[in-house]
Amino acid sequence: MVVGELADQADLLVIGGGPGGYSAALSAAQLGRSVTLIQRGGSPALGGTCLHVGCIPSKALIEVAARRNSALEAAPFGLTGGPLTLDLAAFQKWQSGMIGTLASGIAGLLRERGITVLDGTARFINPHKVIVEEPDDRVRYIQFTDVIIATGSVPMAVPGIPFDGEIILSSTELLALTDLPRSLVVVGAGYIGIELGTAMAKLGVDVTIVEASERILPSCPAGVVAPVESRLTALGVTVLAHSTLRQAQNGLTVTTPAGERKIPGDLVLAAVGREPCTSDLGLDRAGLTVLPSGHIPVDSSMRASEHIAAIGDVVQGPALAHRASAHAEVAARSLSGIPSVFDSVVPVVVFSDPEIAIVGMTDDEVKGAGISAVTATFSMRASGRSATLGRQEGFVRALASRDDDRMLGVQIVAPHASELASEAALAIEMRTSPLDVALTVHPHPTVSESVSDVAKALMQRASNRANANHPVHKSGRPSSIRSAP
Amino acid sequence: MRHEFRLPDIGEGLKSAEVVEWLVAVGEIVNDDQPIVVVQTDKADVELPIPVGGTITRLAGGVGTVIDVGSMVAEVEAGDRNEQIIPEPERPAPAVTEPHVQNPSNSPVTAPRAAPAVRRRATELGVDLASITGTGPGGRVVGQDVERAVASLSGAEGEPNGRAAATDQSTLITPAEGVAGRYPMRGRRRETSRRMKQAWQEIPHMADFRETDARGLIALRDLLRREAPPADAGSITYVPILAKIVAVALMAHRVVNATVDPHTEDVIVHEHVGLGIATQTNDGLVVPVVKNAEMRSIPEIAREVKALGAAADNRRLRPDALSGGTFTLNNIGALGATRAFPIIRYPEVALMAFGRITPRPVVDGEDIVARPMVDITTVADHRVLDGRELTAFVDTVCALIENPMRLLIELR
Repeated sequence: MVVGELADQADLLVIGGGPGGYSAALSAAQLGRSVTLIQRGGSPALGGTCLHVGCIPSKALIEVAARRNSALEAAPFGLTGGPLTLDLAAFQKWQSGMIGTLASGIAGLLRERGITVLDGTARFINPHKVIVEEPDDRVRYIQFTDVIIATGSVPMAVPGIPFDGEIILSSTELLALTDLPRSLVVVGAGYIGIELGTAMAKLGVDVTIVEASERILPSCPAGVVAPVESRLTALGVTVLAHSTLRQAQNGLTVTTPAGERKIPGDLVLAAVGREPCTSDLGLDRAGLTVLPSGHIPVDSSMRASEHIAAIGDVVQGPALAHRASAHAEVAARSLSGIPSVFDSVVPVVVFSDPEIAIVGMTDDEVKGAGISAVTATFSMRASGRSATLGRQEGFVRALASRDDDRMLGVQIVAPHASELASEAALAIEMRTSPLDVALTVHPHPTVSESVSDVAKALMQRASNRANANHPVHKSGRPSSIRSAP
Repeated sequence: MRHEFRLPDIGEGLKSAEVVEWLVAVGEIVNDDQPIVVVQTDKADVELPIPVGGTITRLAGGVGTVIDVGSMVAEVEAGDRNEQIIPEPERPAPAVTEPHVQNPSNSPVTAPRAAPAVRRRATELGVDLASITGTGPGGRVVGQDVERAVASLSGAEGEPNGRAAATDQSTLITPAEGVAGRYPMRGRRRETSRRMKQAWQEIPHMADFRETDARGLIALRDLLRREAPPADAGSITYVPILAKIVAVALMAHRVVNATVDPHTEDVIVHEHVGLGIATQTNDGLVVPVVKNAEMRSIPEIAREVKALGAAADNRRLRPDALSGGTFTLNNIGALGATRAFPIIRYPEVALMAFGRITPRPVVDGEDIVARPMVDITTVADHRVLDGRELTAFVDTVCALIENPMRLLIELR
């Protein structure tokens, strides 16, 4: 007699309980699959990087910094008073309570759907089995029919300058500080570096940003960064472009175009990117080969092989929580026998000051694809609501295809741009005409009116061009167009 | 990498096991799941496969060593596999040359004008949106366009693409006006589909139809209800009584309490009755199993049937509640049916269905009187059982239903 498998059986296994993993588990359970989810740290760690050391804590810090800063800048409104002081330890206490509540909310959702959550670290031993190292040095084996890899990513160190947890910090460690430093050097002006650098500057920290390329937010279109650059300057942040941190021994040495120089910095935030957590998964045992970057190649159904899907940060592309959740549903459906493809537009949002939202195609992408497009840009100076906020920098820019009159892309640099992104995404997903957006009544006075204003401007441009047969507008620079009164 | 393989809990309250025979030696290279040791439990000799292949570096001890659950059985050094190891079947990754960022065929520009929900539906149905002429504003493809396209594809003849072949079957059954819906079977439906197909294809079914006086059954139920604590009275239905009757009958006709080994076609006659209770839930059919039904009282069975039913409704059934079945009872009366032709629960060899109790005219001596009657349909695997065994078993069940006092005969 043979006692079957000595491994535990799982119908659909999910490795990782971040926004991708737990969404995948919920989708699969809804499809009738019996789901087991493995998360290092178990239920309290559900929510992954996003909830515990990423999106959520960083937005909390950005919010508290913005509130302190807006009090400092309120004098023009006639509002005065001393600067507010931040008790960072008290903030951390509030924040960990909030995060705990959100994590237990996720655990509750999974419980309701009958999903088994295991605490441990999984590694493939063959294409249908993982070994799970559990706390207390126990192991178990799980044999599964299908698996979704959602192990996410971790911060990358600056080459030659490893994290030390004391001076050289990752975003995770910076977000856990209980005392503010006097000065901070941020290495890397991507969205994490800009968001956290701005927040720390607003909390009174002397911030220097070191960026190897020519400008901040190098992955964003050039046109959108100018308002953010001006704001950083106004906040007293020094930006060193074309520069790299060389060493962190005996003070910080930076190589700049003008030569080597020492810069002050109690702490260094290394924010040079994130790398996928794939090296310890034993993927070769699963029959998978990763890209040199560590990412797992997948097809449009999110599958890396017939029964293995990979989603979120382990798949090449921007490391964004909402991208992972969107992948999750496609993966769960594909592995459950429902033909599915990931064909969604993923909005990119930067919580800089002002915020940036990039949805759909940019000018460069439209040009690269050889599409004849009309563009229009609407300045926030014309927005009544922006005027009442005292924040009139920024713009909304939109692109529509000339041939079939559909919305292709929207870029927003404005207060609350993150909240405006969804309307743009809906317009693009619905393949609407700019006229659909223009004819949709937007409430007044709101920042969102700018989206319908830019759509009206697009319509106007399209009709002007049709009449005059002008060549396509080539400039990527924002210009200011007022909507018809 | 070194793996320690520890003695798993193989169930039945096992605390330890004695090594009867080592099937491998230190230094030997083993595959994943290769049996490495025979251990003796109080029930049987059991071969234990090792979950991870590699080179055996340590074994727990000689023949006769007693190993506790959770203690090391063997240690294996994985990673340095060589040619002696049969490699895992290659599962080539899909041909992904460019890492996927966005499906270019469905980019906002080139894809047909259709909302996300319509695009999803088209993908599910395997319809190429580009081949559809949209009827919405500005040529927008709306949901109806997709459904129409499917219907016309089903009706199309000799389409040169693969889609036509896939829809040939539906051509036969789809009216020209279109389909009302099409959906993949998944989850519990898919599981039920697989099991029913297997049972129907492999088991030659035969059936026995009976009609039996249910007065004794009704009287016993009423008695049990009166005697039960008020909290339990609701759980006393005909099902636990019939379960007990069937279990007692199975003990008298052991060959019916059997399963077929799907690989060897050996008949395995079971010592205890694992009585599956066919249970219709919102998600479909499940068959939780009342273990050792022959050893339990009717109120005990009643409580368990109720608990299993509630767990099934809430999708909280543990996997072991669905395994270990040796015979299935199906209360088709709950659905209003009197007679049916049920399918045997593979790999069991028989199943019994009880219909709704209905008053019927019965000849009693010289008179025709009205009696509550119950229909019993029993299906059996003709590979294993002949009519003689089947009818003898059903005779016993009917006798017990007509006069439940006969249960006392089995009382020990």
